[in-house]
This record gives sequence, C-alpha cells and structure tokens, in this order.
Amino acid sequence: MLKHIIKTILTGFLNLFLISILVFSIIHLLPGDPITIMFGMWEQNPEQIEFLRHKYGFDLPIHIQYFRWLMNLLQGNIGESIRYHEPAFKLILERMPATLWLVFGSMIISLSLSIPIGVITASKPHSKRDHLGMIFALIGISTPGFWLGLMLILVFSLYLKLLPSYGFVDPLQNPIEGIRRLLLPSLTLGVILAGTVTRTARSSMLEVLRLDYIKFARLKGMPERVVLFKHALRNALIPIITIAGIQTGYLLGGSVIIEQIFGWPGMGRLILQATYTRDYFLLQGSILVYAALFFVVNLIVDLIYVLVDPRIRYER
Amino acid sequence: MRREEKNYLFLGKKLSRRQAIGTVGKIATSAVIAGVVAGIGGYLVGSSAAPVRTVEKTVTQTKGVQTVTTTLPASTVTQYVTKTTTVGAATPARYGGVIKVCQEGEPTMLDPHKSTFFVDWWIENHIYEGLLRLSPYLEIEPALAWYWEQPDPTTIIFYLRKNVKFHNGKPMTSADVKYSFERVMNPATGSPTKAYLDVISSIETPDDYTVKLILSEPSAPLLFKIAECNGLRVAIVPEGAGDELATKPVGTGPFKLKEWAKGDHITLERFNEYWDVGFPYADELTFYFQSDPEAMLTMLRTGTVDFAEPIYYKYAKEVTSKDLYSVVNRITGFHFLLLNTKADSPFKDKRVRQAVAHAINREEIIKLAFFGYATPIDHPLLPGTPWYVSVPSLSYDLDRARELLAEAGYPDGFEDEIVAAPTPEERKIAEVVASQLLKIGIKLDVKTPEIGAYLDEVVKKRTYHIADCGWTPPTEPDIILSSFFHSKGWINWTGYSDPEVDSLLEEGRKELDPVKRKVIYAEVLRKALPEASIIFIEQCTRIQAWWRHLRGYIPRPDLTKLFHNVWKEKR
Repeated sequence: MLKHIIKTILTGFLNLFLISILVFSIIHLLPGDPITIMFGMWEQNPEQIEFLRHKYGFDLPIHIQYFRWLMNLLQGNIGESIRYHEPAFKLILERMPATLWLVFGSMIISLSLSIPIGVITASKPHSKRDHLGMIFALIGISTPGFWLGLMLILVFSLYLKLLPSYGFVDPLQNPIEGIRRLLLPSLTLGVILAGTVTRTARSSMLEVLRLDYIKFARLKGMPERVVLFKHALRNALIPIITIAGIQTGYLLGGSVIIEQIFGWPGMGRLILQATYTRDYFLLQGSILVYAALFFVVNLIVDLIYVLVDPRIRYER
Repeated sequence: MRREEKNYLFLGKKLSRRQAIGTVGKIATSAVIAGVVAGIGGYLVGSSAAPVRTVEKTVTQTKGVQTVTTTLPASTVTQYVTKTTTVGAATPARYGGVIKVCQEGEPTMLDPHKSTFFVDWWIENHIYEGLLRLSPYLEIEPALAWYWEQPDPTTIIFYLRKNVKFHNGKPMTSADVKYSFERVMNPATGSPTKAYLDVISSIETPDDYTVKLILSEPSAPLLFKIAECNGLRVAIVPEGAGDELATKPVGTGPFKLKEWAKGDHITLERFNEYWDVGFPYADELTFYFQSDPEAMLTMLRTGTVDFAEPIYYKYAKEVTSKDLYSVVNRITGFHFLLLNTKADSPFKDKRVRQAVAHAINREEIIKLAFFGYATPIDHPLLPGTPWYVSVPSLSYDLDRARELLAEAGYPDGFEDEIVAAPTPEERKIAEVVASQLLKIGIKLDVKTPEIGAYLDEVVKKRTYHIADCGWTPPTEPDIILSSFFHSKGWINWTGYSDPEVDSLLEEGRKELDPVKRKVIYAEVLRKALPEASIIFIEQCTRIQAWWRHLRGYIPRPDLTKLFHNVWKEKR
C-alpha cells in the first residue's frame, strides 16, 4: 500500500514536470504577449516596452526562459504575476477557500441527489420512477449552467428574496451567511453534475443487480432496501467514485460561468483573466497547482477504492 | 431623423440640443421630477470656442443652499463655454451609509501610474487626485492646485493647497508632486502616461507649495492631460511610495482603501481629513464586479447594489421603475473601422477604401448593434464638443461605391476577412459591416479573436486588412487626431502618413489659442478623412441605473463615475 502511494507520488512529479513543459510551450505559442496587452489601447513607448520585456526576461531565448522558470519553481517560487504585481502563489491561495467550498457544496448536493435516484431507478427498470429519474438526469446533463444559475437567482433572490445572489463569505468565519451564499451556486453546479452521476449510478447498479449474489440475497428473503443499499450499492460504487473524482478534479479548476454569475472568487475566473492578459507566470502557476490538485484527488480516489472494495489491493 | 434631435436621450425620451441646453429651469425641473440630480450627460455644449473665465456652481450642502463660486484664472487655456448649472436636488444631503456600486470587472491593481483599465480607474478616482481635474462638463478645474498660471508658453506654475493630507496622515507638499511626475516619467514604472509628459524638461519646487514645470516646447494639451480623470494621468502620491501602491494605495482622495476581497469586492471608507471639507457624504463605498449583464441587472433589482453600469441596451426601457432610475449617458467614446493601407490587400487602394466608406450605413449599424442608442459621426471631434466642425464626408451612396470599386479594378468585388475587436458590440458591428459590404460585392468573413490575439494582429504585427475598434478618448483634439493621423500616432495602425498632416498636428500642439487650433484641426480632417484609412461610425452611450434613494449623482461623458458627492436617503 505504502509502496503504491510512493510510486504514485513519484509518477505524479514526473507528470508535473511534463505538464510544466507542455504548459510553458503552449502559453508561449499563443499569439500576443503580456506587455502588448498590458498597454492595450494605450500609447506604447518603445523604450518602456524594451525595459519591461527585459525586466520579465521575455527578451531571452525561450528555452532559457523555461529553465529560469523551472529553477525558480524548484525553489518554491512560481513567479510574480505580471498583471497584479503580486506573487502568483499568493493570488492562487487567495482563491482556494472559495473554490474548495464550492467543490464541497456541489459534490454534497450532487451525490446526495444522484446516488439515491440512481439506486431507486435501477431497482425497477422501465417503470414510472425510472423514467422520472432519467428525466432528472437528462435535465442535469443538458441544462446550461448559466441558465440554471440565472433561473435560481430569479426565483430565490429576486422573487422570494430568500437567498443572496452574489459573493462569497467564508462559512468558517460566518457559518449562517456563508452557507446562505454557498447554497445557490452549489445547487446550480450540483444539479448539473448529478445528471452524469445519476446515469452512472443507475447503469452500475443494474449491472450489479443482475449478479447471482443479489439473487441469492433476495432468495434468502432479505428486505429489498437492505439488498439495494447494503449489498448492491457497495459493489456499484466504484464507477460512481471514479466519476465523482473526475468531477471534483474539474471543479477544482473552477467553473468560470458559475463563478461569473454568482460573483464567486474562485480559480476559474483567475485562470481566465490570466489567459486573457497572457499573465505567463500566473497562468503557468495556476495550471501547475491545478494539475497537482487533480493528482491529489486521484490519489484520494485510489485510496477510497480500497476502503469501499477490500478486494482491491495495490501490492502484489 | 435629424441629427440634432438625437443629441440627448433621457429616460428614453429624446431631447434636442436646443432643449437640452436651453434653460437651466428645464433641466432642473426634470431633475426634480426624477428626484435625482442629473447632468443628463450634457457636456461641452455649443460650438464656439470662447475661453472660460468664470464657472459658477450651486451645490446643495447639508443645510440650505451654499453657493460655491470658482473663478478660473484668465491665463488658463480652457476651451469651454461659460455656463451655470444647478447641481443639487430638492432634499438636503445626508451623511453616512454605504453606497454599493456594481461595475463590469475587477481592477488588476490600484497603482494609478500603471493602470490601463477603466475598471481600475473608476476606483482609483476616489482614492487619488491630480493637481487639476475635469468637471462633469469636462472643464478644467482646480483640484490639489488651487491656482495655476502660465507666465510664458513654456512655463506652468501650480500653487498647491496647504490643507491637503495623504491617507497616511502626511501633509502633501511640492516634493510629493515632483516625485509623482518623475515616477510617471520614469520608463521603469511602465506608465501609459509617460509619452504625454515627455514635453516636460524639468520640474522645480521653489517652495513647499509651488511647483514649476519647464517645458521643452509649448504644449496646448498638457493641462488637459494633467486634469484628465480617465487614468488619472498624474495622480499625486506620497514621496517614496513605490510599487506597494498596487495593493496598498495611498492618495489624497475622499476615500481610502478599507478592504480588497479579491474576486469579490473592494470597500473604500471615508477619509475624515479630506481637504474639501464636507465631502464625501457616504461612510463607505463598496464596488462589486459582475461582467454578466443579466446577473448585474439582478444584483441591482435585488438591492445587492445601489448603482450599476452598464445596463445592456436591451433592458434600457424595462429597467426604469418606481424605485429605479436610469439614464442613457452619451459618452465621448466611439467606434471605427481600420483599413490597413500598408498590408497587401485591395484596401491598399484608396478607391476601395472610399467605396467601403460609401457603403457603410451608420443608421443601420446603430439600430442593429446598439438598439438605436448611439449617434452617427463622421469624425472623432464629436458633435456637442467645442471642437466639433462640419467637414465634407463620404456619405452612404451605394452607386458611388460600386463605381469606385470598378475603377479600382474590382467590378465584382472580392473576398477578405474582417477582424472584430473582442466585445459584443464590436463583434456585431463587424457582422453588420460585412452584410453591408456584401451589397457592393465585398465578401468579408468575420473573424472574432480574443483580446490577446486581436492586439497581436492589429496593434503589434499589423497584418490585418480591415478591422473594427472602439476608443473612449478625452475630448482633447490633439490627443485624438495625433493618435489617428500622425505618422507616429499610436493608434495609427493603418499606416496612414501625410507629411502635411504631421506638420499641421505638430503646429496645433504648440498653438495655445483655441480658435487657431480649431482651424488647424478642421484642416487636418479635411485632408485625412477622404483617405478613408479610418471610417468613424458612431458615438456611443452607456446606460446607468440606480435606486432612487441614491441622490446627487451626476452622469459624466468621460466614462468616469464619481461618488464623493452622492448620498443615500433613508429608505
């Protein structure tokens, strides 16, 4: 087990190294450079441009620029944001609480909706409740996030005046206001994510329910509830965990549109802004941090597999 | 529809120029009816260029009405028409409260010498001040300098106020002013204002409250550049304040930074030692950021914010209600087409460019891209400003356009690509232009790159053939025309170059008599416009909306929003 974790971490570092090369080259291949964009529609003085290009090292050959960045990276310095004039890592850290809370909130809503619905629909395929459940899944998969978000704002903020539509308050500092603000964005993302998870849960359950040990459990006269939730679900969980893990990974990168609508200070808008302004160091930094987080989530998912299914072992 | 009738849009009602400037009474009445002070986006009205001597203003203060009379020194070079305007509402101002404003984006930093975005400036305008400032009607007013004079064309002397303190408690002196100017002029700062100050050869500080600028040559636009709010050209910061300003701003303005919750909001609090005693009214000013127009409107309607701009044109009519007030504010911004005269394309030929100019139907673009909320223009010296001149232009005439195309050797037209700038309006303009040029056989594909790629292609490499663009410049003719038409102009991305125009522009920059300058700029337009390297389309508007309990707000044409004289009534 320990050996597996160490091996995964080592491959993780190798991956991060490869990603760093990829990210660096792709970003530098994009048309436009940060200095031009910094001045945008304003008068550009060649002397100033030269000065700034030199200051950030953009006048060096690209491989030297990469090694410079890599050396800084190894010393734990991912660089200063060209745009914000602050260390990129600080900017990323500032966005973390909001991002993590949103991931947490939407995963709770997503899983608490999708797993019961998936199990119930699978228990009686092609029945009325199956169709209802699948309609829910279809709505979740096909509804655009921005539309659902705006509708929820209209209903809960504008008409019912129950929930605020804008901004983030850390629930650890102010639990009531924090959760009130977390509700709408999490609900929007949760419902959308639940669509995919519901379908996965259903198909995975259907597969398990066909197996002999379920038939045997039923023959023993076990109550259907116990058969479904205790015997079947546990074995059907692996694909659900996989999908939920991947979704968590994506969410960590931020959900640009949801963040935009709800004024949520998450990673998505930061990365988007950094892309627009070609803020090389911030962009490279945030993508690397994101990749590292994705990798941590994958590791956690691997560990959950073991907890859920004792047959899975990582050593030979 | 006649042009004059389209000058002012007020609550969806059109006011002609005559109506708008006619009587103060009318404006005052509409303001009282609305219950809100409104300058109705009215500015710089009249086309005569008489220098200003006195500007009188009546400002409603806490109790009763107090008249503030500002007399500008005779030697100043200001160009605007004398005018008395009532700025004040029926109710007395109230102190306290939090004013919540929604704007379309978050600032990247709060260093006034480095910022290049309006979203930065809107907040910096409350934290910092310059020596001079522009009134809501874009007249030059004293700010941190209470008086200034120009004993000879190359010397400007500023006399500083003595009761000005920085947010850190330190009094402001001439050393701070010198430091601020030098910081902007230092290439290491990377300030977009640097080029504007290159004319200053030295800065002297004879005593603590006098600053003397020695210029290398006379400069007509310099005072305007120093006064300009957009970008706060030369905000005065404490001596020695360095790059920390980006996150820890220290200025002399009515508000100081309280909190910047990244990605969420910025809160400014009242600066109690502000030199202009009595201001500001509000205790706190909070800025929220929302780029989605629907979500912004919802924030306004739910009362999350008191003020929002811009409201999307689509919602212009429905936003006004019993509690919400809105104004269609005509700004000094406009859009234009850039036709590259240097790239290898049919647009290299003057006749093709002229054909394009004749084929553009401005009214249709305004209807489709701006829902009618814009005014057609022929050139960038906007109608309503003292610099407006009527010059012959290439009007909408499809037959003439086809003739010109045939003369140039393209009787059946040709295919090319138009690069649209990355805003919804500019993308729509490009689409409408493409459909209009189809009528004379020019088939354009609309290319919609994001900002970085656009700047790379249009500004840096200049490989585009035809593109569109927008700009909200200050109403200083030298800044506008030199940028577009001087061979070294920084918006001269079309490659247009005419030595005669260059020398006219240089002459205009050194000429201090506004009447003579106006003649020069009319000549520049007469020479440059027929070349059709740039085709000006429309002057645009921005819709602002606020709750009626917000009082004292004055819409400005230069896109600046100021809240130091705004108060909130008890609801």
